[in-house]
Amino acid sequence: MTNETAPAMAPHVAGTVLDRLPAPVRARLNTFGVMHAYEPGSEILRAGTPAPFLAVIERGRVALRLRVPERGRVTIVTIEPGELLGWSAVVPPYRVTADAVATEPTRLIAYDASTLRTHLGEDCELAAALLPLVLESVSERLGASWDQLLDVFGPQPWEPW
Amino acid sequence: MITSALPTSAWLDRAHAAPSFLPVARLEDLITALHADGRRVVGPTVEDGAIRMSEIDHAADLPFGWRVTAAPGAVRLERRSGDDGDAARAFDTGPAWSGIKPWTFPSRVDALHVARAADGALSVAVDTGPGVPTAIIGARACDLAALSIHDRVLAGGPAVDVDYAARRADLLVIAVECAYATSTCFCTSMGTGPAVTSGADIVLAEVHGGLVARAETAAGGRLLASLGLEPATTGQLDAATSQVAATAAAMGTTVQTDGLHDRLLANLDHPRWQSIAERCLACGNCTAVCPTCFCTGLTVESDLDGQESTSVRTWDSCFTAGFAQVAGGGSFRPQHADRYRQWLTHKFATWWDQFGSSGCVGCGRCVAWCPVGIDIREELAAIAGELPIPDASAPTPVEVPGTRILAMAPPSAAAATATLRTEYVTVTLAEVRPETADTATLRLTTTDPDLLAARPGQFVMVAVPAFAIPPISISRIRPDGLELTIRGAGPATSFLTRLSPGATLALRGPLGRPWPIEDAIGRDVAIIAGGIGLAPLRGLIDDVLADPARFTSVRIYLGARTPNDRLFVPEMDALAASGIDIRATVDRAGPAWLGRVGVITELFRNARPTGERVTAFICGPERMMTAVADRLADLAVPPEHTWLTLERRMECGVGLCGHCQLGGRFVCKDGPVFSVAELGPDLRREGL
Amino acid sequence: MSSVASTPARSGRPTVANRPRVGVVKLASCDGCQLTILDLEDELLALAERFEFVEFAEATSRRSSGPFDVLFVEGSISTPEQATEIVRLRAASRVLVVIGACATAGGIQALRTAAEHEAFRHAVYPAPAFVESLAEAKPIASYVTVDYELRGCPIDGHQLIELLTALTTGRRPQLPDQAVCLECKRRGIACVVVAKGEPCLGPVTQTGCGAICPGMGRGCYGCFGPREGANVDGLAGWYADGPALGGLAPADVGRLFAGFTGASPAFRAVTERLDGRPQQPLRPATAHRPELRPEGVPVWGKEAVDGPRH
Repeated sequence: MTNETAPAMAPHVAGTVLDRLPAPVRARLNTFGVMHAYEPGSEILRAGTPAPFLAVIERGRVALRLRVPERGRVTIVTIEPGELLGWSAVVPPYRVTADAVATEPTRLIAYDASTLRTHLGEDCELAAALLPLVLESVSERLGASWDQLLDVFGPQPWEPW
Repeated sequence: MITSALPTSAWLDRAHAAPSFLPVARLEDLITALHADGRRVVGPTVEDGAIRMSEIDHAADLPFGWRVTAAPGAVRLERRSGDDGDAARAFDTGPAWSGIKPWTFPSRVDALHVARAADGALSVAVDTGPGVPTAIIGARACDLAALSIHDRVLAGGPAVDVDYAARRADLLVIAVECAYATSTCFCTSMGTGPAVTSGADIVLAEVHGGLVARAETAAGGRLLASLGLEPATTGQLDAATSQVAATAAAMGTTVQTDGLHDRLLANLDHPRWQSIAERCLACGNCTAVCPTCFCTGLTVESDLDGQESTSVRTWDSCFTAGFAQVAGGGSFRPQHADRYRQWLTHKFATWWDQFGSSGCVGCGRCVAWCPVGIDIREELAAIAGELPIPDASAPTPVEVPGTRILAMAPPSAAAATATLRTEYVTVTLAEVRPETADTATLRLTTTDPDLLAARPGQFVMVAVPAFAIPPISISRIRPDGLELTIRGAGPATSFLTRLSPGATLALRGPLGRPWPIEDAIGRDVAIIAGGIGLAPLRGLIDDVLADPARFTSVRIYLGARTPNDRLFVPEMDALAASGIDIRATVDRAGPAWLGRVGVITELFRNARPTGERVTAFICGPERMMTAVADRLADLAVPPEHTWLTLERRMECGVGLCGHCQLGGRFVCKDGPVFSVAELGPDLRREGL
Repeated sequence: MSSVASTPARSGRPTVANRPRVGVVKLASCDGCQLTILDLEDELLALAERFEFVEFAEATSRRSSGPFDVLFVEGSISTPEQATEIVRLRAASRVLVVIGACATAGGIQALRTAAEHEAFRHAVYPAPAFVESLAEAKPIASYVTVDYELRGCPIDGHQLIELLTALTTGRRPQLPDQAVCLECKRRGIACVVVAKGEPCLGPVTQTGCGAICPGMGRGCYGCFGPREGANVDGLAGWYADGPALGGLAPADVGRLFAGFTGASPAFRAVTERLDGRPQQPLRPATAHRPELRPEGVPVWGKEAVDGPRH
């Protein structure tokens, strides 16, 4: 799974976001990366609990869901291969913000939260390279949430015709 | 083609037939001759304390002895004093407030009759004008310049306003050169007067004791000859020449037109627009008295049972909220400042882009008849550059300018050759296929060759009795007809989605610019659809997949609100099963949905910036399209290969009603498909 | 949007049995809007064929308390009884249409909002104890949700027909929100402000009237109320300072806006800012007591004691 063979604009087969880390930094991070596998329907993260890890999806699909008492569980966004899951592991108060459920057979590489935070505190190069990727991911989800708020495809209050 | 050597006075030009002299007492004979020719005669009259162009019976109806003084927002009619005979002249009033527009382009005409008979059969009749032969006496140079602009806008193609064309064909124009200008006149600045250089059948100039007259057309010549007039004397012709030059000199130059187009468009964010908006009432008086404003709206007048209706076309105004209103209830020009900017920039800048001329003829009516006295000459100077300081002590010789407007070539020769159809074709509804809770696809059968020659991205206007006539994009072109996929969001579209097979409806089209599939040949194709935006792209998908070897790759990206709002699901699933790369996402979903969730731009989240070889076709709500276009730009997709289709309010679909204007374009006629490069900053500019 | 037709535009003419039930009722008003409906002589028969008028005081002695498919309500809420009655009427109506300046903006009686209510009562009624009235005359939308409004003093009858037609066919009624000016110019009337220096509210007033007043050579007095985005300050400023009217006193400009729709927020703001409110205190009623009928009922008292019908 390398960038070079991935066609342009093909997000689901592109390499992971961590490919953008400098090679030495990536090597140091990978010393404590652990592969997890999930069956469809299994819960990966639960909202409100301490964040166990930061992960990058290697394969599959993860739905981030919010529990709405009147509507059950609503999927807010799905995380696709190559994307980060669990940014709350490095952002205070280190608490999971949404349920994460595998909707397909999913594999991810997880970096334990406390180990990662220790590394970030000691390895400035890692922090300087990794945290912007995390922020970028958070920022994209924020922007996407704004677009969802607009509900541009939804029924309009007034139609000319 | 600009004529470089205009004569200083046509009165002394040997090329014309020798002018004759019409004594005041014989004006009545002229009018009698016009009546005898079967024409109604329209001329200036005193009405409601102002000079208006009205139907006249006798020469005595003309405003003998009246004069108008005009300041911004205050016009007064007064009796001239003096006993040398000139005080009783008929045409020294300045331009009539109404101009001649009400006679060539009336404020209200019946445009279309739609009726459903008891057996369900639909009949559609387009009104073609009354064909009442008319003679206008007393038109001014500014009126004629405006008439030539209307000739270009309304009858110069690609679509022709049939009502206007019919009135125009029967029109005989007797113009008068102004020997008097009000303070609001500025035709000299716009190069349209006060001398009359073309557009009239007969040109008059009022001199002592009568009018010198010269024929400019064969019809004018016959009319003058029938009166058996004496030739005008050299003294009379000299007087005509010098008085029009004096009128020009009195006006001077109050609008600097050099570079005005660019100066104005460079100042779209000038703070002055807001200050105008504090004064401007957005009442629309300026657009109504403007002789070139041509925007119209349709209202439907129906019988109580809704089986028969007439679409009435009335003057509309870009100063109203409803003018640019679209789905969501929002207007593209919500603020008065937006509307004023639209009006002024159209007149002096984007009119050039659209029609190859200025949209202002310098008649000053909008200045005089603005109820709060807003003077466009001042506003132009404040927004687009300073006025020169006139040097009163050194009058410069004024050359009487010719009518520059008439000499300009149309902006696009190609546009003028194609014709857009204005008549309706009755088609039969063969099948109604529900797509979602509020959306249905109508399969229509027709043998009309034009409709069958439609191309993906084009649209049709759909008429049924009693309802407004919506523009609907074509979602598939079949050998035996068309498919229209309609979201029943408003009354007319809801009605259409509830029709039953066998019903008839009337279509006008195909209209608009199709998707430029040729731009994608040999390139990677990305088709990106949001919500109902898949409908106009469906025909393109058909075309692309008919011969996919023409493209290096084809990818389809689909966004919808929820899984239940996805369109053409079996079709898209079948394409995916056949190996077409289709990626779909929905904005929100319950736990049963296992596909992607997230806005459509998320589909490109991890894409690499290697889009140089991509041609993208985007359709959806404008906010979605601009977000996707931004993301594609990040991915190096060239803006000239990024195509999208805009939604604006459209009432005619052929560039005649003015509603869908965006900068120098009409979305209906020049689009609706545009490239991001073509739109430039206009795509995102608020209030345009 | 509400519709009174189940199968719009395909139902053809309704039979006598299934005609929509239409009511016309009045609250505090002059009945002028009802008379405008009766003035639609050419259309009345067609209307009566397609709609069953179950309540229309000016036209029929028939009475109904509902339910109504379409109910037209004339008049403002000026008394406590009316405030109760409108809630009942709303509940009894599928489509509630308020008609006229009183119902849509409070009407001329809403001018008392700017004055001392008790002083008014004593000025108008010889025996105010018999008259229950609210301190403010308010538009109906202040009390209940309304579906459509037809403006004007009185309404334009053709707008009413347009609304009924739209409701039966299922389309959107075409009730323009443009300035009177546009209609005035379409009619070919020279602007009375510019040509005569007549103060005119046309530029800030919603059209629909057919520009009647400018057509008679006088200024619009705003009976249709403020239009969308009315730039009232722009107009008021010009009338007070501009050359067109020769400079009106600010209070006179303020009073221009204090007419039949003077209680609408946009117009009222101008009146208050320019201090064009009615003069007060008013003289007491005893100074010009109305003539009494033989039986002793004050002539002027009829309107206010005429409570809602049931």
